[in-house]
Amino acid sequence: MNRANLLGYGFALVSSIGYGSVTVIAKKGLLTYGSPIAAVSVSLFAGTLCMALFSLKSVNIPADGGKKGLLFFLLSGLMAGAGQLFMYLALGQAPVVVVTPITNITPLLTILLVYVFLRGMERVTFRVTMAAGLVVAGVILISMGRVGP
Amino acid sequence: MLGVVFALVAACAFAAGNVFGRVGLEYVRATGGVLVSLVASLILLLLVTLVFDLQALLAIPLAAAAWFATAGILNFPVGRYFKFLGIRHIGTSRATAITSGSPFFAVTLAVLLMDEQLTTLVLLGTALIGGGLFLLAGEQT
Repeated sequence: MNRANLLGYGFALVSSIGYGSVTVIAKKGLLTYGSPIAAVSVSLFAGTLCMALFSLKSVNIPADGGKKGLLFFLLSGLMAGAGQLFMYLALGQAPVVVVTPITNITPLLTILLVYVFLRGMERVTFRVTMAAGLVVAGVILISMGRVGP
Repeated sequence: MLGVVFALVAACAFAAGNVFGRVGLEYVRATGGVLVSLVASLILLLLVTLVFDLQALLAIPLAAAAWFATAGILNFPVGRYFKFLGIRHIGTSRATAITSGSPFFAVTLAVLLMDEQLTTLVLLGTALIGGGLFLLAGEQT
């Protein structure tokens, strides 16, 4: 495994740890105040402010293709925001044990979209698909098996 | 049934967000791109909150807001930014699969800090996640 790949796996792991710790921290807050949509708004505001402070000076938009890139990230952000909204709508209609496993199939849907739309950019192998399937199955089992105080 | 449909739409939206971001990385660096994506998400969510649940937003106690702000910093500058850095280096499929294993870390912290119990299903789920990550680590890129 070369250095670039090692870095990539490391970055993805850091992301996973960050996302994982969010659940515990957010739950502490929700025990005090139970409005999920307000919680997400405050979280997103704080996160965006922190990101802006951290990165604003180093943001470099290339003249060639920069606007196109930003447009795709704009769409990415709108999709992520829409995903959060629909997840909360889903939680309002169905129990967590139904909603969470379904929303956790995101990696498999991502692989499908990559295969259909990004074939020229990325290779989707059987091994990666199997690995994603195992992760999704594991996440679903964890969602079903969690017992809290 | 409506809950299932909404959950499916949410999963599709998250997946589309990953793919759009991957295409964006062809043109701009993760730093600027993630900032734009966060601003877009924020505007959308704030608009919806303002229209449907403004009172809930205005009535947040300071202690709860501090927890939510901390969660936000872990979720977005750490979670989303490092996810796109991972996508840039090892591709969307691998990076997304690894970041989606986050419940493993959530469970670990929950057991250590919030008295959650380890059940057979959780242990089995953790093993499956570990197996998936092991498969990914052995992938030739």
